[in-house]
Amino acid sequence: MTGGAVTGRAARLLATAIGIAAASGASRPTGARAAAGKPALAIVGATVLTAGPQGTVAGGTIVIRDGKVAALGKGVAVPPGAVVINAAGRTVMPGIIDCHSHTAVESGINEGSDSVTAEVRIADVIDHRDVDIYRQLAGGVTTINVLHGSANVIGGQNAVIKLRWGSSPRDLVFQGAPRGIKMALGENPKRANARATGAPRYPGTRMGVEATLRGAFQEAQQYRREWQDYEKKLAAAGGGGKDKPVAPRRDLRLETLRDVLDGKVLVHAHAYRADEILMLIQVAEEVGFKVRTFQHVLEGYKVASEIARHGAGASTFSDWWAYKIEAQDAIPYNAAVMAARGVLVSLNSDSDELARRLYWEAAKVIRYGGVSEADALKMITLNPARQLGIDKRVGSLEVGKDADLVIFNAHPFSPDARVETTLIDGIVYFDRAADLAKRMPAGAPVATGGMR
Amino acid sequence: MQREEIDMSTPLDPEGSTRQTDARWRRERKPGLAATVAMCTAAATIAGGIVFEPVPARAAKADVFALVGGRVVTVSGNTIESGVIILRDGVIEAIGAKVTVPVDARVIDAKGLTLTPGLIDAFGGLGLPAPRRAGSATAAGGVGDTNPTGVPATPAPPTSPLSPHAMALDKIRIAEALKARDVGVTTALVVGRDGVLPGKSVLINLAGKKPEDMVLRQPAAQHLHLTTISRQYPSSLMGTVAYARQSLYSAIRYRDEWAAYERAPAGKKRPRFDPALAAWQDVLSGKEMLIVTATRENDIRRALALADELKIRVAVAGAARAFRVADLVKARKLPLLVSVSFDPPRAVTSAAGRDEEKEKREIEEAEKNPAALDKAGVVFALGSGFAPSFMAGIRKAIDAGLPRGAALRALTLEAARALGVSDRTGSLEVGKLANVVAWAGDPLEKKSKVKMVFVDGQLYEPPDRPDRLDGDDKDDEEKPAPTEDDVDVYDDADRGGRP
Amino acid sequence: MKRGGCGAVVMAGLAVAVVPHAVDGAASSSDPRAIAITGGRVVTVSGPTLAKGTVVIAGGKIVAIGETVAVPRDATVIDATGRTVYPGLIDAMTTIGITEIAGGAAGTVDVAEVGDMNPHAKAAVALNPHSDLIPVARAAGLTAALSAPRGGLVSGQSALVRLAGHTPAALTVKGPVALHVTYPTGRPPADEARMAGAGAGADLEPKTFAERQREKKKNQDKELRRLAHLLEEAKAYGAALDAARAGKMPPPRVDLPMEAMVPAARGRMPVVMAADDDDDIRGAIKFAVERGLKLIISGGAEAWRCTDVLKKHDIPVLLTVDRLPRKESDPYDAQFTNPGALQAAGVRFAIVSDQSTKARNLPFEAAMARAYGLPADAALRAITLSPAEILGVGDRMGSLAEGKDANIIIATGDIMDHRTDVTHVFIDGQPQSMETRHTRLWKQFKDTDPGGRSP
Repeated sequence: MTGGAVTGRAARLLATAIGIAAASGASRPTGARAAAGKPALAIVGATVLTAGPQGTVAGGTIVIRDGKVAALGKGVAVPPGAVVINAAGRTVMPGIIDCHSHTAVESGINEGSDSVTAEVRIADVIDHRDVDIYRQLAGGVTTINVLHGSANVIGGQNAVIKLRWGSSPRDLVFQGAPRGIKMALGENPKRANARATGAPRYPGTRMGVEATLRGAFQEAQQYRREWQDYEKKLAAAGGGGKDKPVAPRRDLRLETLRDVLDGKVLVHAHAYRADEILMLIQVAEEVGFKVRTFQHVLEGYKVASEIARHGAGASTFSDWWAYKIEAQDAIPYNAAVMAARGVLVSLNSDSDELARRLYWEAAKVIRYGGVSEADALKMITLNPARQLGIDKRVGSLEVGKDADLVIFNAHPFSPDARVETTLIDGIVYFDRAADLAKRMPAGAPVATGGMR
Repeated sequence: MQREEIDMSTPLDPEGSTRQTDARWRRERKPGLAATVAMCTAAATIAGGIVFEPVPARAAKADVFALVGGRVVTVSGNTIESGVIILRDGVIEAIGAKVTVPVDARVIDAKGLTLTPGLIDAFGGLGLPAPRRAGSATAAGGVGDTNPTGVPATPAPPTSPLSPHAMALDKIRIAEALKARDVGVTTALVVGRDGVLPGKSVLINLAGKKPEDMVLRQPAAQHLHLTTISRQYPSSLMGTVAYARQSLYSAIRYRDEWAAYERAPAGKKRPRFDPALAAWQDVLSGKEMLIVTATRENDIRRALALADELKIRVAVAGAARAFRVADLVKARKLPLLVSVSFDPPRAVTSAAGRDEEKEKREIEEAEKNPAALDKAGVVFALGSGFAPSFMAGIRKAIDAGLPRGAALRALTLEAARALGVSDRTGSLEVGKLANVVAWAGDPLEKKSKVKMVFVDGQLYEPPDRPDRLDGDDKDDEEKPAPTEDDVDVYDDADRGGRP
Repeated sequence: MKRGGCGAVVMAGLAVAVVPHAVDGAASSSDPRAIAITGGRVVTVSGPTLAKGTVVIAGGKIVAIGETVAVPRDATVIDATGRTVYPGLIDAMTTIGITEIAGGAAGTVDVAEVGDMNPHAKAAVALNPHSDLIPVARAAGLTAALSAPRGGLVSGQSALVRLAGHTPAALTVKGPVALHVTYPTGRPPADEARMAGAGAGADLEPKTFAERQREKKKNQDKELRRLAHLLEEAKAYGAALDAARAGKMPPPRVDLPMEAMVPAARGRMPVVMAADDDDDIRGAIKFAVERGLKLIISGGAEAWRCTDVLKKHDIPVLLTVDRLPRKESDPYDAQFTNPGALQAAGVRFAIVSDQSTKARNLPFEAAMARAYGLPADAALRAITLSPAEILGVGDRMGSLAEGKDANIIIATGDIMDHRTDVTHVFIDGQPQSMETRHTRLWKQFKDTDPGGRSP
């Protein structure tokens, strides 16, 4: 049996089950779906990096049934009739979760015309045909947190999606993921006005950013009171007639901010400088909400204990720096320092290009700060899952969780690492061999680079 | 094929209801048996190609026409290889292989010609001033947005891009609109191209001296262009979606507030009148349809999501990628007004790194879209979609595989159905509007010419120009712009008004 | 006075000149003692890898290298047991030294001069030896980089810098190296100001695809003619200058830009043309061949589509690997397999960062190419000897060989492995400080935390 190649019956079943369109190109997704009652899938013989309580399982077997991990371990029996993927010599890890993405968005990630736009929703503009979904599958990513951009102090609502290439926008949605909203501090929300011609947009300073936050939530509190008053009046009027009160105008913006105050919407706040991180913690605690994650948070290492005390997570880059003034003090040791202080840290991409290489970005924190391999792996799997409130379903390979996993030809941190197969809900959405097979029309130039 | 009858009823112009056959006139003319036989013989003779002398004294009252000997493509029924159509008072009075020609009819020899219903431009900006292009302050909004509807986002002042109460009728230039008759168009849905909420469209018949005279339905529908505005909210597509939702929720509140005030005003502060929110009321009540301009595949889903959430009726215009959601369109019986503007002007924020191969592919897909829809059994209308040449676009769709018969249907009966006027136009049937086109050659064929166009039963003969249907852009631009004075010889209004 | 005495003075002077100053507070300034790196795995690149070897450095050069080489008495010995010794990495396309913070600090950016014709803009005169970016790149194993201006049609002239030196002159290994040109694509230039913020791009006129294609072709032809004309003029100007120097005619009117273009126009100085699309690469090659220019292609995103013509004219390519495919229809790994495709076709190439702050990730770009089919030794060569050769300094750097500059690094493992640390960097035989802005901030904050509310 050749190491790792999907052979025989497994290959045929995969070939029909995948239905992936031509090599990344003419990308017409065909929507392979799991049907209940399909045979179980068994991945056999791999080194399994579970990111969960079982740690690393050498020579393990993963049994997948109905989209979930049904069994996992060394010596686990392969159920009769199961489709077997021989993964000897391969390494399997949980599907990568990118906590800061702007992939798959149609027509603009910023509603930058106003500094508070809580009513806009990324979910309304998901582009299920964005080929970068496929390219990220090929980099082992299975779930992404698609965020509004950072042009606004309070931006729009995010969408957590699984990269089920070939599905309609609705079917990409990660069912049950908590709602979230984007906030942004620092240069971006105050710079956005500097570029516009005509009257500059408020705010233009970090002072204005803080004032905008407070003002917005005061309005939200007012809105909440209006609706509470209305409900009281309605109950008192007891069924209407001429005195039936008119409901307040349903304001989608304030409604969302009210939901933030009610703890129904997770706050993901883009922040760079240490002082603005502290500012947001201050405002949040006074106004009455919690920051779920700081995003980028490149100076987080300077205020790590404070972030930990507030209970916010941090989602950062491995080593980008010096692209803006507020990124001048960014250091690649950031993740390690924050993690050591008890902050839940994830590593993200904020880039369609980098998202394909997150497994290597995670390796960098081993060298920059001495994070262990197991903890480094968690920064792109279990930690972002916890930050997004989806860790009961994804983020590690454990019995009962979704079968979102990636088969590598080597350890993901190794310089020879390459994704061979990516599964979501137990369905193969990317397979390198299948992709290569589709690429070989005679005569056409093919970039395979002397592929082995 | 599915029938989709959308009730877009707003009250017709009350005077329009008298545009039926004058029963008194017809009764006087009803022939006895002998006369009938004579008539039939005469009809047979006509079918053989003998032309009656035009009735001289009454020629000036060109209210009654008999089109004789042409190939009659009714669209709604069978084609009559050699038939007669009688037009009276703007309506089709009779149609058939053997029909008595009224004595007072001006007889037109249609031998060798093909007669079809007048073409309907189901969605476009016919007659509206063309948006400025050179040097205009226009663009798509949002970072990296390419604005595929081709709508230059900031409008020519002073119309705000968010004007649900604006009326397309107010801006129509009649001479421009009438030009479309040259390619056989007799009816058009007209709406502004610019902005996100361009206002309400009007459905016009291309005959008359003033825009009001042309009205078939006013307002026809409310419109939402799923595009963006530069430097203003909404500057992103998600902003536009949120704006639409919020508008409707605000309109609900407005309705309830005014209703409560009207019920019991005493003691209440009087509500403010808001023309924009007032303009949404008919959409909320279901009386008026919302036509959503959808150029992306997912725009169609967005339109349906809006309809489901706010319980309103929607149709989709543009629909360049509708073939990808053919099943959804069919299941939801969604009226489609498919645009033949396949390469609309777009403001591109940066051409560096653009995937031109993909752009080209998308344009080709849009051209093949009508053919693909037809193949999938989806019914749809065709509209110019602000293309500079409607006929060129139609030809492209046909060249890309849309059968000519399906194209004709999409330009006539399906268009009328989608716009909710199939009870009065869209085919050659007794009782329907006298909108007829006489073609030399196969309709829509490249070398064919439009010889005669009847709109509301009035005759218009396009100037004879070579390759009239070629639909070359240059042709249209080279033509000197007609003025308001270039009106029909057979203008109804000249003859002392309506009965 | 006496020849011997003069000779001694000259020798001393040379010794001083040849050994450059170490930077960032390195231990000794010009230490004439030899250095011997022993016990490590020595990857020479130009020859076989030594499982356990010794490298001896003296006078800024590698004086001996081998498995059984004698360590000179008095030499400082550095024990590299368990580690790997590599040549210093070379990044053949960066903006290092001429930029600091790309966004929001325009005062620190000297990359693109105003206007589109700046052949006489020289990176060498604008280098900031105290840029924070230099130690960061160096600490990751880079010892040399090409610093090149960009923007416009003709951007200027690049300089090859060593990543250690207190003055621009001390930094400069070779300058000017090449004339940098952007092959005209015919598309309107990406306007940064227009792309930022909400609702930007307001002044761009809407055009149909057909119109844009026509304009693109027209613009491209126009720009190419302009470039061709300039090169012709430069040749004529050069001839006039030569004639004037020979006294045959009075000197021509002073024209610095024209003068700057003369060596390139004559095919003596390389011309680096940035071109990514298949058509543009082919167009650039045709243009260069017709005019006898010494062409290097940078960008080369679709080089894999035109290996035939690249090979035919032996045009080297400077590739960036960390990019998305150009077209939606391209294979998903087109950029990763690009170097391998060139390797297989026999086309010369180097892997470059094309940036400044991420120059430290150069070995990982090579790793990506390697993971997708480029043999490991070719991947290493693409960031060491190949860039040296392409930039004309293959005789003095890019590999570990006797007589070459002592640009050497010691790493805890495979240099292309993200987990590997670089422990030592030598530039011209001088040990370099591994301190960077990042290590300083890390040390400052990792154990103390000033965060918290004021009372």
